[in-house]
Order: sequence, then structure tokens, then C-alpha cells
Amino acid sequence: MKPAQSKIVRLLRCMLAACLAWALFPAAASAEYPYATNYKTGYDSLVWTQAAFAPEGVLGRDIFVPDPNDPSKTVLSPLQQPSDLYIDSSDRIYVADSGNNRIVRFFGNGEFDRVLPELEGTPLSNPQGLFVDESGRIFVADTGNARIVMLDEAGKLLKEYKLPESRFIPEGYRFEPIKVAVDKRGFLYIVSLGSYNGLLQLDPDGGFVRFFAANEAPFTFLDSLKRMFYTRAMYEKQISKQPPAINNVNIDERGFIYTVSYGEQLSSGQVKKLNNAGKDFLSSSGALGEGNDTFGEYRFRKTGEKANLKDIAVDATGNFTVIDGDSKMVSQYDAFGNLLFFWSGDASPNTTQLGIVKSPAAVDINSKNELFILDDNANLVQTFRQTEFGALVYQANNLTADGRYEEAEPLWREVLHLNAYYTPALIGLAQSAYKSGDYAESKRLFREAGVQEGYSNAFWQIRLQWFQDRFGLFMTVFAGIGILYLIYKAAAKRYSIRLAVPPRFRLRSRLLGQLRHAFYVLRHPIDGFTAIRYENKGGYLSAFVILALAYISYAISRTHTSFAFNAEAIQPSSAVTMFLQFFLVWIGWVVSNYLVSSIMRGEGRFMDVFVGSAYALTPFIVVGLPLTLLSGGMTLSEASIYNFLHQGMLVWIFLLLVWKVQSLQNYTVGETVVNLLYTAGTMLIIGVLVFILFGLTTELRSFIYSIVQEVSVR
Amino acid sequence: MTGIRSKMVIRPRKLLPWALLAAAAAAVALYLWTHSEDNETWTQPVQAHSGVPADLKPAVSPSGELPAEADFVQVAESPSLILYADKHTGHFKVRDKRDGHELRSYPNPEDWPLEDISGTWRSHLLSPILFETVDGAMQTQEVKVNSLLSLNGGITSWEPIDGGFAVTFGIPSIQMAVPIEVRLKDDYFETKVVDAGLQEGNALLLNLKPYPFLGSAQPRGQEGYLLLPDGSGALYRFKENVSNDRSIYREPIYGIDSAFNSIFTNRKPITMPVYGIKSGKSAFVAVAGDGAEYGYLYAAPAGVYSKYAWAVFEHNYRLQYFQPTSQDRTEGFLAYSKVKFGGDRKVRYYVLPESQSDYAGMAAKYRDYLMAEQGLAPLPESDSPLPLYLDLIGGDTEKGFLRNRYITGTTTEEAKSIVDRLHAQGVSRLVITYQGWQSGGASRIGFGAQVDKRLGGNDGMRSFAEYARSRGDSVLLDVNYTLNTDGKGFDPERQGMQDQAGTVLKYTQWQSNDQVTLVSPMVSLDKIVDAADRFASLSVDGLQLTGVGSSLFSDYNRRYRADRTKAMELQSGMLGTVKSKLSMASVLGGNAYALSDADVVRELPGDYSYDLFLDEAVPFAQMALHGLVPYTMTWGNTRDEYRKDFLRSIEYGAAPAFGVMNAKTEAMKRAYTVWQYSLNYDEWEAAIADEYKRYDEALRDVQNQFMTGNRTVAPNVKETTYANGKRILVNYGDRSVTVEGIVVPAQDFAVVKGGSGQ
Repeated sequence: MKPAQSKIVRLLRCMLAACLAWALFPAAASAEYPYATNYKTGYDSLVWTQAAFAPEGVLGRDIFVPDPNDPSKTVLSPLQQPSDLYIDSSDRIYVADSGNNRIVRFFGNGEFDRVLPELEGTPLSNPQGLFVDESGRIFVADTGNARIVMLDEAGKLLKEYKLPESRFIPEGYRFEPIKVAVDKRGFLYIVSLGSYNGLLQLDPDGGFVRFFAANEAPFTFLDSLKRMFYTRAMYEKQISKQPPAINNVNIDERGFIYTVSYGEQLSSGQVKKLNNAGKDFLSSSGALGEGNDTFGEYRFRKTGEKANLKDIAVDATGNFTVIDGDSKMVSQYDAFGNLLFFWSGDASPNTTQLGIVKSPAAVDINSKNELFILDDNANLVQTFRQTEFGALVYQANNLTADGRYEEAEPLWREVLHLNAYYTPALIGLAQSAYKSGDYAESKRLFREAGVQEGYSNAFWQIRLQWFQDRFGLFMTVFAGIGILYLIYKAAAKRYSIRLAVPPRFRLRSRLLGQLRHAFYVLRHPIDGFTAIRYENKGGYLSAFVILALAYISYAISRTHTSFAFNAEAIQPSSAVTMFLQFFLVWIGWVVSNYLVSSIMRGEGRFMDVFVGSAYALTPFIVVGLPLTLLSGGMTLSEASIYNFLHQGMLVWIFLLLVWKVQSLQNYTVGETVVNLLYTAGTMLIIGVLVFILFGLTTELRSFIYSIVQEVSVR
Repeated sequence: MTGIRSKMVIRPRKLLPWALLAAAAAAVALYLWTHSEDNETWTQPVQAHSGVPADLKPAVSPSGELPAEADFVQVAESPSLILYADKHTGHFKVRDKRDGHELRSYPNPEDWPLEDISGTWRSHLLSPILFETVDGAMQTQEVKVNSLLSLNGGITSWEPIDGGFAVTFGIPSIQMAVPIEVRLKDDYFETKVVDAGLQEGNALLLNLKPYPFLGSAQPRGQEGYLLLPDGSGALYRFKENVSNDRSIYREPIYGIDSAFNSIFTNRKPITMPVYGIKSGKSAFVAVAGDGAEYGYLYAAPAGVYSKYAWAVFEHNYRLQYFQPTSQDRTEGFLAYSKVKFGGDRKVRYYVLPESQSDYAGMAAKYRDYLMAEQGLAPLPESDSPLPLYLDLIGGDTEKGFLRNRYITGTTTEEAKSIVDRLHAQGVSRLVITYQGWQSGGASRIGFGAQVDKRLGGNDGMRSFAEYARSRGDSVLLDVNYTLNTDGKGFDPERQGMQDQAGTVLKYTQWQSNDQVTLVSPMVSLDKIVDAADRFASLSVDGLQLTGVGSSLFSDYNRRYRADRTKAMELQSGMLGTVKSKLSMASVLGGNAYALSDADVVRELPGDYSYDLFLDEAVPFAQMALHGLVPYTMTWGNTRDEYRKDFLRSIEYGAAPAFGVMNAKTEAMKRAYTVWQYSLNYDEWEAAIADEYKRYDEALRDVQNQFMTGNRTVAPNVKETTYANGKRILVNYGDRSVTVEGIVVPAQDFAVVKGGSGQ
């Protein structure tokens, strides 16, 4: 089988499956538009929503220019590999028509206006970026001529910016301006192709100011190892050590500078919203926790897939839209970087559909919230209009962003009525409930929406209220206890009452004795484990009982620990998965540890290892369960206490296992450490072997089958 | 003793020959078994070759490229049409006696001087047949586009027959012969590709387009368009192709066949085998008859293949299928079957008079066709109230901590109260479809008729159905006999649908880890025949047959073989069975073959597929169906745009439909199947009642009326006209508009009662 063909075939099969699903569940694809719109919660669960934007039409089919052969006539002159799109403050649309070395302007209604006249002197050559400032001056990144030109509204050349002389510009810096943005003071921010130095900032006269907003080079654990062992020359040669390059730049009405970056290793900060000082406003944390800092969404991400954002459009209120050149996904975020919507349709190579952009190059939005996406393959601009649902969400979200929670509330209610799963509506309502003091409702909504910080804050208020309400009661109880104690003291002094010591019952059950030994092990681990080995203080039955209790405690703490600390509390969980996670690791440890110990002349039998390892899990029961209970009364402000207890429990279990090895096998400390390392290695090897074994058998079966098929069917 | 013992000892070496023999036998058996899987012999025997003479004269016109007017002779006449044919080229033309328009089987001669295409496509344009082949011996997969003239083919025989003529085209180089008959009758003519005479040599015929440029025209300023059955119907208006978009429209009639390898296009499937072309004042509508299920509709805008805009039914004779070679069926190769699909292929072309030469006229003609040929009848005259189609979600399952957890949506008792409440709100009549009523809810797809106990069980359902009937409503149960997940009374490996390579068609629904198997249509029919009485005993009024009338697949399962034609009959059989035992049957989507037995078509598309070369969606399907079969669009509560889509369903004459449940929507957050984002009845009650009143106002008295017109009267304002003269003006704009003295409020509609009709 030719690999290329089989890959195509595989692809076809995938498509077929998609078709099949469509054909069988027409209702599931009832949306009339050729794409589906989604939202994704913080836990990566996909939410289907009504379309936020609807396909409206295309621009760029009506460009007529005078015929060069016969100026009295006009001929059609379509766009050719256009690379940028800009909408000015009066909604006129400019397109950098790179293939035709010109700038094309459309009226706000989408009709063709004119082609800007050819420049005197050096004409434009492959212009790839443009920007129009508030006074109507047009800045064009004239890539082919390595310059930025400033034109007046009619297209007449006003000024030319070349790469300035400066000692801060590294030698060998290649200046290929592809995008440009200009702030209110007239400073230019220029993206040069593939440059990792950041944006080149020029002053209005063309002088060098600085390199701005450079990304940081990714640095991983592997890199730190390389840095230790590589020579300096070797290390510097590594391409991946260069910071991700900036793809695009934009400036909004408030003067924020947006950069859009792409890099093989870039997994967050694809979009940055910077002020003049270079502070990023998107990944900052607020009342609801850490801000979102990953941009460019996926419905189902394939491994290794990275968002390759091409352009960013910012609307009047700071909501922004980015478009991914690889997945063609359009993603929209609010001014704080919170996701609002994302959508894309399955582009078929055989069709060209309205609403499906095959090769997006640029995106912009006008004052009427109409979205324009430039397609450099179809040489057209596709337009989208905001739908009823989209407009409602935007309106509500803008109010919430301004802190006008009460006004936003009815709008969010309507959104939730139309789509009960739309999380931003839940968050918006939770915020307004918090504002109006309905903390119980706020807590419920935050939990539903999956926002831990909000949940915790609401609970904090509830707890405070609870304590305040019962302040009198508490005081009475405290006072009562105090008085009783004093009376008791006084009475005891006078009558020397001796409290009768309750008679101790000794249960003669062997199992109970063995179980009770678990507590002894907690207090005296060395003695306790030795007793298991030599005094029969533990058996399989008691080990199973403790193991079962430990598993139950583990499961309960995973499912019932307060949502403030445990996001899993609102996720669906499966007893079987949890059991496998718990038990496979444990049994792997027991087997490996026994094998290693028996080779290393340990004295423990398999039963001892089994029982000892089970007893070592007791902290799950004695700490984990109460902690789970306690977490219900805690908020994130007590997170350090919770974490201390939780991690302390895990450390305790680890130490018990160490002592178990030492005392059961009668090792010195050094031998114990070696044994532990070997055990860890053995666990790893067993895991790999099991994986290979399963993999190989399937492969072998499939190999034989394919030979038979190839022989018989061909 | 020693002797006996020595006999008992088995020496391994002695076994070797036997083992080898057994291995050889197994290999032979394996070979026979795998080869007997070749499903090549069942379609039809290969034709004996009679041979196409090598010296056949190419079928070119003796006078220039296009057929000469003088070469046409009259071969048939009907009250309204005359058929002329040209023996040299095999082409023909039809003259409409009513207004003198001529419809030609070749490119419009007036436009021909402007055509600048050259090379093989110029030959293709002039050819009466266009076809695709692959090399039979090599199976190289390289598809060749051929035409009669590009391969220098000629006419082996031409003879007049009753009502027309019969011609056989022969291509000596690949020894292919294609017989076609053209007949004239009343106001239509029909082309028929005669299967009995179809011959192939060493090239495998994949598909055939007879008279591809019939009625084609170039955009020269005339009003003209192609009407395609894409979604509700879509128009491509004749225009110069100014983009470099070279996409065409090519879609299988009645949707893709999952037994074959289909190209994914992201378009809505074709449910009606029909297209129309209007050019200036002449127009025709083409309807595929016999063999439509093996047809594709092919349409090319102007400027893609030549300057002509053209459309044709492409008759398929072979489709590509996937032959896996690995056990997990991901590796493999694509192949064509050696035996072609059989059956005559008929297409009727109805010539429309000038007064009817628009898409409304095409829809009216197709409506006549449905009544005359498919047995549909107009809905009876009555003043019955407009029904509200209410779908109730019974329940579903989600992943639980220990095992799947059931989520109750609407119990039968709750359903009763919903019925009461809606009647109290002024809804006069309900048609209720209960979904997800089986044990286990919507994720369970089985053949059983056991209502989940948590909903009230069979007794609860019976009592609900009787109660609803006492209030004048109807209750249908949603069933899907084309899929199976529960394996009860069903063996996926034996009774599942298979493709040509013997692969059982199934897929894993990964959330619930269920194997969803496509059921052989023959098994589906058997099962529904068995189950019909059980459903009748539940006292329900009917069934909604999901999967029937919306997807059509060939089945190569050797026990239950059914090609598309047979599968179509079996689906009709399923509808017929339901109708014989119960009073109502409804379908989703509504492929044309299922219309005659369906009491309502649900989920009729109300939009097109947004192809860039298409200009607008028109309610063609709605115009053809209104007054014959009631239909609904998507649920009101899950519309993409609540208001706009409401207006559209008023414009398109669709009955109101909602899908709700008693539980809160959030209850289904993690359900395996129920995905809709707003389902709670309490939240929707007021909106349903309000909308129902508006629907009732607009549509009550036109339920049995034909929809005779639909046009744009002002920007964003549409007008729909019914046979009784009632007009509905719908304003999608944000401003109130006055049209012919009638004020249509913004985002609303106005009703104008018919003045003359009634």
C-alpha cells in the first residue's frame, strides 16, 4: 500500500464517518448555517450554541478598473493574493491587494469605491499590511520596497519611512515590514517578517524608538539540561530557542497595542494586549481567578496542533476576534480575554461556501459589528453579521464588563433561556447575584459555571453570615461551657470527685486486633511493620479491609472535597476509572517492591509486602476523610491550611512506605533508598512491557489479517 | 502391556504431515471463503458484446459545429409540443406550440459564437453524451472524462419509435454502446437510457450524463437562473463568473450512500430529484424518474466548464468503495465494482409555458408530478385548527459513578399536564411526538416497544395517548429501525448493513461507548412488521420513523441484499406497515419516495447550503408540498435566530414545532444524546402559546391550499401567495415597511386575505 494513498483513504474514512453522523442524526446538525458555533468551558467541555455571526455576503467581485488598452472601457480586476484588510473609523474598507501591488477601497456598504492611484516615484511592491489612522491617513507596509509609506486620503504620498540608523538595531537585521499600526501620537509599530526582536517602534519622524513587545524565548526543563551540557556555540544554534515571532499587530481606540504571535512551542500568550509600558492586560488575574491566556480555540484538538493566529480585530468595546490560518477557526473573546464564541465549518475541497473561509489572511470588524474576513485564496472578503443571539450576548457581556451587573441580569437571563449551557451567562448572573447579596444563588451559579474563585468568595460571605447570625448562640454556648468548667473545678476541689474510668472491653477477634494494629503502625511505624512481619499482626483479610476503606476514602475525597479546592467535584467521575488509577499503581508497587526486595535479600514475604503496603494507606482514611468533611467549611482563603493537610497526608503515606520497606525487609537506610529507586524503575519497566505486549498483539493480528486481505482481495 | 503402551506414545514427527495437510486445507478454505465474499455476481450478468464497428463515422454535424436547423425532422407531436430530431448528431429540439419557444438538447446556438472554450471541452459541449470511465484492466483509479465526440464516437443506429426516436451511440475505441430513447408526451419529453443495450468494452463506465447541455444558456443579460433542490431550493442566477471560484454543484439524489466512498461536501442532501432552468421567458423543469436513486445532480455555473451555465442528472453506474486490508479497517485501497448498477434511467423534462416560466411554475409542475405519478393527494378541505407539533423528550442516560444514570425528561403524567396547559393557553390541536421513551432513554435505539418504567411504563403511555386523544390530539412515538445499539433481537454481525467489502457499517458513539450498527433495511422491515401490533396495543396514533426517508444506503449483506432501489421500496414498505396498523406516520427530511405515505414531514430544510455561486434560497420544496403534506422546520426553541427563523417559517408556510421536556434543561447537561440547549417547557410555555397564535393567524386557513407564489417585494420583504388568494408579507428588516398600502411592521409579518379566491 502506498502510504500517501492510504493516508488519503484514512482521511476519506473520517469524512465518511462525519457524513454518516450527519445523515443519521439530521437533528444534531439542524443549524442552517454551514458551520457550527461553540463555547468551551474552563474544563474543556464543549458547549454548542446558536450562531453568533451569520454569513452575509462577499466583497470584491465588483472591482472594475479602466482598461489599459482602451481607457474608455473598464475591465474587471479581481483581487490577487490580498494580505491585509483594514476598516477605518467611517467604516470604509481598505484591502492591501498584494498580488496587484495596490490598495483597494470599498464603501461601508461593501460596494467597490476605488483603487488608490499609483504612487509617484517608486510604486508599491507587494504591500502586505495597512493601517488607517483617525485623520484618514493611510499607512502601508510596502514589503517589496522595505518601507512604510504614509498616504493621504486620496492616496497621495505624504511620507516614507525606511529602516532608521540606530546602534540598537542588531547587525544583519532584515527589515521586511509586513504589518503596521500607528498610535494616536503617530508612533509606528512595525512587524517585520519572521523577526523575533518584537515590534519595531518608530517615532512620527521615522527615528528609532525601541523594539517593543518581544516574546520570551520558551525555556523548558530539557533546555536547562542542554544549557548545562552544551557548549555556548551549540546552544546558540538552536532555532527553537528563538522567541516566537509576531504575526500581526493592531491598536484599538483606547491605545492598547495587540500582538498576535505564532511559534512551534507557543502554547499561551498568542494574543497580548499591551499598554505603552508593555504590560499585558490579558493574563492578569482578577476577582474570578487567573485570566485566560490561551487564544485560538479548537473543538477537538489533535496532538501537536498549535493555533496559528493570523490577525486580530478589536471592536469599539474591546472585544476581539482572532482567526486561525490553519484550522480556520474564528474565536471571539471579550476585553479581558474571556472566551465568548468560536466557530468554523468543515471546508470541503469541492465546494466554496458563504461563511466558510478557506484561507483566512485578515479579519476586521466595523462599527455595526459586521465582521470581515479576507480570503487570500478565493481573493474575496467574506462578511458576517451579528445574529440576535450574538448581539444579546455582546450587550450583556459589555454591561457586566462595566460592572453594571443589575442591568446585565435580565439580558443574561434571556441568554440562559435560549441556551442553558452558555457558561458566560451563568457567570454574569452569578456576579449580579453576588452584587445584590444573594450569595447562595451566586454560589450555585458559580459552581454550575465551574468558577472556583467565585464559588469560594460567595461561600465566604455565606459562612460569615452564618457565623454572624449565630454569634449570640456561640457566645452563650462558650459562656455555658466556661461556667460549667468552673463549677466542675470548684466541685472537684471540694469533693475530689474521681471520674469513673470506663471498663475496657477487649474484643478477642483476631481480625479486629489486626485492624487495630493499623493505628499502632501510624504511631510506631518501625515497630508496627516489624510486628507485621514477625508477629502476625496483619493478614490478607485485614489488608483487604484497609485497602477497601482506603479506596472508598480516596474516592470520596476525590468526589466530595469542596469544589473550591477540587474542580473534579463537578465533573462526571467513574468509580471504575478511579479504582483502576488507585489499584493499578498500588499493585504495581507491591509486585515491583516484592520482586526487588527478594532479589536484594530482603526478609519480607509477599504477604508482608502486600499487607504492609495496604497498612501504609491508612492516612487516606484517618486524614483524607476528615479533611474532605472539613473542606466543606473552607474557602480559598484557607487554601494554605487545606493544602498543608492534603500534602501532609501524602507525605505521611510516602514515609510509611519507606519505613515499611526498611523494617519489613530489615534494611539499613542506604539499602532502603536503593530498594526504592529500583522499585520505581521496575514499576516503569512493567508499565512499558504491558504497553508493548498489548500493542504488539494487536499489531500482529492486524498484520496477518492485512496479508490475507491483500492476497485474497487484490 | 509394553505393546499397548508403545502404541499410546505419540511421536511429534508423525504428526507433521497431518499438520501440513490441515494447514493447506485451512488455506484453501480461507481462500474460498474470502473469495466468496466478492459480491460481484448478484447485480446482473455481464452483457454479451455485439461489437461497435471500428469504422463508425463520428456523429458530427455535416454543416458546422452545432446541428444545422435544416437537419432536424419532426418525429413526434403532442397537443403542446413538437419534437424534432437530427440523425447526424443524435440531438433533438422541442418546440412549444403555445408560445413558440424552442428547447434544444445542445448549447443555445445564439450564444455559441461567444464561446471561446477549445480542446476536448469544446467537443464535450457538442456531444449528446458525457461520461466518466476508468480503465477496467488496470483499475488505476484515474477517472477520465469523455464525451461521444472527444472519443470520435458515432451513431450505430437511429430509428423513430412511437412518440419519439431511439438512438444508439457507439464508441469504437472503447467498444462502448449507449442506447437512448427520447419520447414526447403531453407537456413533457422523456429521455431513457436503456440498460439492456448498454455495452462496455475494457473501460468501466462510472457515470453518464445524457444531453448535458440541454437548455443551457450563457449569461447575456436575460433573466435566467438554475433552480437546484439544495435545501429548501436555491437559485443560481445567470451571471458572468468574476471570481476564480471554479466550484460546481454535484450531489447524490437522496443523499450519500455509506456503503460507498463519498466525497464530503458540507451540503444539505437532495430530497427531491428535480432541477429547473429558466432563460428569458422559456423554462423547463426536469424530474428524474426510474433510477433517480442512482443519480447525482450536476450543475455548473457559467465560466466553469465553458461560458454556459448547465445542469444535468448524472446517472451512476459504479461508485467507489473502500476495500480495507487491515483488521481495524483503516488501511486499504479504493476500488470500483466490476459489475455496474442496472436499471433504465429516465428523466422527464416538463416544458413550462411563458406564464409559468419561473420557480413557482416549476414547483407547481413538480407538485402535479407528485400527484399524478407518486399518488399524493391534496389535503382535504376542512376548517380544522392548525396543529402544533410538539416533541416531548422522555429521558436519556449519562455516565454515572458506578453505572449509567437515567435522566428523566418528561413522564407520561407530566406529559398530560403539558397537554392540559397548552390547551388552556389556546392551542387547539397538538400532534405530540414522544422521543426517548424507550427503557434507557434517547441513547437506546432498539426494536422494542417497552416504555421506560420511570416514565410510567406501557400503562402510563397508553393512558397518556388515550387522554390526549380525548382532547383531540394525536400521539406518535419516535422510533429508529435503521440503527441499533441494544442488540436485542438483533445480531449486528449477521443483520447489520454491510458495504461491498463486507464491512459491517457501524460506528462507536464514544461518549456512551455504544456500538451503533446500521440495520439491514430488510431486517428493519421485518422488525417493524413484528412490532406494529405492539405499538398499536400502546394505543398511540402513529410512529415517527427516524431514518426512513432521510438516508438511503445500499446493503451488501449477503443475507439481506438490497440495492438503493430495493432499499427505497423497503423504506416505503416500513411506512406502509405503520400506516396499515396505525393512523399516522411521520418522517424527517422527507426524500421524495417517502412523501406519499407520510402524514407530516419534519425538519424540512428552510435554507440552502450557502454555496458561493448560488444567489438565494427559495421555498421550492415548500411550494411543491404545501397543501399535499404538512411540514415543519426545526424546533422553535433551538433556532439559530429566534425571531428571524420564526418569520422564515411563516414565510415558508411551515407548521409550528417545538421540542420540550418537563425537566430543567441543565438535567441533560451530560446526557449522551440529547444535546439541545433549551428544552424546559415551563420556560417556553408562554412563547409557544404566543407563536401559535401568530402561526394560526397566518396559516390556519391555507393548510390545504397550494402555495402559488413567493417573491421579494421590497428589500428584506418577502411575499408568499396561496391558491385562495391569501398573501403573507414578511418583513425581515429592522424598519417598518409599507408595501402596496399594507404596513408590515419591522421584524414581523402582515396577512392579506384573498379578495377573489374564496
